[in-house]
Amino acid sequence: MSATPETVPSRAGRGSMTPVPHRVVDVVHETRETVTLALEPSSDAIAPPVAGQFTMLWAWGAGEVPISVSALVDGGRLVHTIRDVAGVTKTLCASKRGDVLGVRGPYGRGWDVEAARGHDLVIVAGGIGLAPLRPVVHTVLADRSAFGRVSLVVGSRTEQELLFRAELDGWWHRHEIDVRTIVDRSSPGWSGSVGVVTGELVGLSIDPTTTRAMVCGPEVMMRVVAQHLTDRGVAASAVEVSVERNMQCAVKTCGHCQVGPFFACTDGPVLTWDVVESLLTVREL
Amino acid sequence: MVVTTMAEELAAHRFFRLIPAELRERLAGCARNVVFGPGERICVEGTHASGFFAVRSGRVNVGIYVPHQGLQVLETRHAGDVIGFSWLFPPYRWQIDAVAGDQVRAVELHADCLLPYLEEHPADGYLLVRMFAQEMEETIQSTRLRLLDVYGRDRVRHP
Amino acid sequence: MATQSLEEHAGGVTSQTFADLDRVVLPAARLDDLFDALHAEGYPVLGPTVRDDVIVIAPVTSCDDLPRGWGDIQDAGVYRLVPREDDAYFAYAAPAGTWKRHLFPPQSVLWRARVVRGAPVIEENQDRPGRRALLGIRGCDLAAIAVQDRVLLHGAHPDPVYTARRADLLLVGVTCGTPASTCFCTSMGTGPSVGGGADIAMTELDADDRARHRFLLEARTPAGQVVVARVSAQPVTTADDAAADAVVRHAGSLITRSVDNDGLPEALRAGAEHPQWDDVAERCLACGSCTMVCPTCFCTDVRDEPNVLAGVDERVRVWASCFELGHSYLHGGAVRPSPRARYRQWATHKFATWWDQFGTSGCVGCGRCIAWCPVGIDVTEEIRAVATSTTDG
Repeated sequence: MSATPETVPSRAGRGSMTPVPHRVVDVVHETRETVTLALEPSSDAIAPPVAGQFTMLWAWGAGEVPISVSALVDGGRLVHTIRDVAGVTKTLCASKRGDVLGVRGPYGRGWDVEAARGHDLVIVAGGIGLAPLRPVVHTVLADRSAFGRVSLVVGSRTEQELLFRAELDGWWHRHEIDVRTIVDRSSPGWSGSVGVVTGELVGLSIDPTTTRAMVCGPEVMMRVVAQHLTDRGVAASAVEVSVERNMQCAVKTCGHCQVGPFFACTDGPVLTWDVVESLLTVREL
Repeated sequence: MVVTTMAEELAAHRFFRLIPAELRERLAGCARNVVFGPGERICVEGTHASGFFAVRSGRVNVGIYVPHQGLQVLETRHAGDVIGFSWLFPPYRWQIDAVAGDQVRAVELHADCLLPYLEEHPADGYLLVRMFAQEMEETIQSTRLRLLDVYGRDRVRHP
Repeated sequence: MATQSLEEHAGGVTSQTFADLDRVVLPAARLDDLFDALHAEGYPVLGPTVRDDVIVIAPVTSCDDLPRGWGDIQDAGVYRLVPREDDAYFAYAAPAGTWKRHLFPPQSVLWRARVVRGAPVIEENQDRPGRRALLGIRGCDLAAIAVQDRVLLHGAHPDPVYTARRADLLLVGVTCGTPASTCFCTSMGTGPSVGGGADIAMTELDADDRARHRFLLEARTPAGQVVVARVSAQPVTTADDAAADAVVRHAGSLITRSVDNDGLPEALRAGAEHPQWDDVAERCLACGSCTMVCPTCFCTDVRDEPNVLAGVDERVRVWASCFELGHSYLHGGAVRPSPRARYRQWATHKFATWWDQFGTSGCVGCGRCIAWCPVGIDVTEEIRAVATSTTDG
C-alpha cells in the first residue's frame, strides 16, 4: 500500500457530498419573495446546527444552495428561511408540504453567543440577514439575564420586505430587548424610521468596553456598520459579520468560497471584523 | 425644576457640542425653543427658509409632497440631528417638507439673526458651515447607500 | 532560511530512513522485470508515454511503452520533445500530462438520484479502480500528491472520489536527472530526488552506455519491498550509490529558475495593490491553462445535471479554474471580474494563502504553468516582482 492512504469510507457511511432526505412539514410565506420551510428528517437526522451555521439545501433536478438556519429546534427538525432569487431558490420557495428535499450539513462557524454572555450585545440585521440572526435573539430571550443590554436594529428595503414582522412586534412589546426597525424607503402607512441602519445606531447609546456586535446583511451594509461600531470604540475582534461567497461543496474542497486565506464555508461564514476588514476592503479579492 | 439657559441647552445638543462657547452664546441669542405635536408641519417646501431646527427629542419625518400620494418620507431625523440647509444660500427656500412624527421638541435658529453675524465673522462662519457640510455629507451618504438598493433583488452589475 | 520542504512537513521521510529495506540494481535490459513484478502483485501500471508529440500519463504495459530515447525542451510557452542519442527512459522533465487526472479525474459522477414514490433515492458512485502502480513519478509530482492529500484526504471531509482512487496505489518515483529550464523544484524542496510518499524510488544510471545502463531501485515501504523482492537483480555497490548521488547533484546544478520563499507569503498578502498585477494583466488571457496543468490545483464545479426525461439527477464534479469569470459568481456578478484580480488570486493562493489553509506551499516547482502558458508568463518572475519592491518599501 502507498505510504499515506486513508481507507475508503465504508458503504454504510454516507459520503460528504450526499444529501440526507428531509420532508417539508411546514411552509410560511414571510414576504412576497421569502419563505420559511420547516423540515423533518425522512430517516436519519443531521447533527443539530448552531446559530449562524448553514446547510446545503437540495431540490431534485434543480441543485443545491447554502441556506442559513433561521431557528433552532429540537428533535432533528430544521428551519430555513429562503429568499427567492431565481434558480434553485425559486424551486425551494415553491416547495409544498410533503415534498422531500435533501440536506447536507450543518456547516460553518456560527455566531459566538457564548462570548456575548455577560456583555452588551448589538445585533444589526439587513434584509434577509435577519434570518441567520433570529436564532441568536431566541437564545437571548430564553436566557435574558445572562446578557447585558441587548439591541436589535433591523434594516429593510421597505415595510413589505421586513421579515418575521409579527415576531419583531412581539419582541418590541416584551421590552426585554431594544428593537428598532428602519426602512430604505417609506410606504403608505409606515410610521417607523426611514434611513440606513447606521442612522439608527447613531442614536443608540453604547458602552464600547463591554459591547459585542453581530452583523448580517449585504456586504456594503456590514462594512459601514462594522466601521461605525469600531469608530465608536467597539473592539474589532468583538464585531462579528457573516461573509457570503459562491459555495458549492461546503467542505473546503471546491475552492470557490475563498476570501483571502479563509474558506467562507469552513472558516466562516461568521468571522470577526479584525481578521476580515483588510480583506473586504480590497477590491475584487 | 432646573432652569437652563439656551446656551446650556445648545451645549447639550450633539450638533453644537463642539462649537466654542463664544459662538454658542451668539447662536443662543438667535435661538428659541419650539414644540410640535404629532403630525404638525415643521417646514413647507417652497416657503422662505427662515432658519434651521436642531431636534432635541422626538422623531421628524423629512420628505417631499407628491400630488395624489401625500408626503413621501425620505428620511427620519432624530434627537441630535439638524434640519435645514437651505437658509445658507439663495434662493433661501425650503427644499423639503418636515413633519413631526411624534411630540417633537426642537430649537429653532433664525437666519435673519445669524447670517449678518456670520458675514462679519468669517472664522465663526467657516466653523458653522463646516459642521453643516459634515451633516450634509452624512445625509448624502445615507441617500447613496439607499440608492444602491443593497436589499434589492440581485441584478447583474458586471459585464 | 530555506522554507521547510514538503518532506519535512510530511514528517521528515527521506531515503536514509529506508536503508534497511531492499535496495537493488536492475539492468536496463531487464526493466520489464519490474513490470512483471508489478503485474504479479496485481498492479496495472500507469506511466509516462509519448502521445501526440507530448509525454502524457497513461496505462503502460511494458518498457516499450515508456518514452525511451526521448528528452524534452521546456521554456516559457515552449514544450517540445527531442530525440536523444541514448535509450534513457526518464530523461525529460515534467511531462505534459499530470498524475492528478488519475487521482482526481476531470469529471466525476458523485451520485445519481431517482424519484421513487415521490421522494428522491440517491445512489452513490462506489467506483473504485483498485490497485494501480504509478511508475516514473518525479519528486515534484510526488510532492504534489502529498499536497493534494492535505486538501482532499486529510481534511474534515475527505473527498470520496479522491479517497477511492488514492487507496491501493503503489508509487514508484524516479529521480530527475534532466530538469528543464522551467523547473524550480530545488527552491520548493521537492526534488530532484524522490521524497517522502514513494513506495519505490528509482534512479536511472549511465543511460549513454548500453553495457552499464541500469536502475538503482530502493524499496521505501513494505508494499514496495514486496515488489522489489520479486525482481531478480544485483546488489548495490558504492559506485552505484556515488553515481546516483552524482545524478542528483548534477540535476540540481542545471536548475536555473528559482523562488525565494523567505517572506514570500507575507509579501504577497501585503501586495494586493502592487502594480505588477496590472502588468501581468496586460498579458494574461485568463485562459486557465496553468490551472489545468498544475498538479496541485483542485478547484471544481459541483453541480446537478438532471435528465428530467430519464428521471435521473446526477451530481457531477468537474475541474474548474479560478480564472473562469464565473468562478466567484455571487449575487448577479463575479466578485473577481477582472483578469488582474483573477491572476492575483491564483498566484497569491498558490504561494501565500495555501500556507494558511493547508500548512504548505501550493507550488511544487514543476514548471508546467510556465511551459504551458500560451503567452509565456513566468510565475516565478511575477511573484519576484511583487515580493521585491514590497520588501523594499
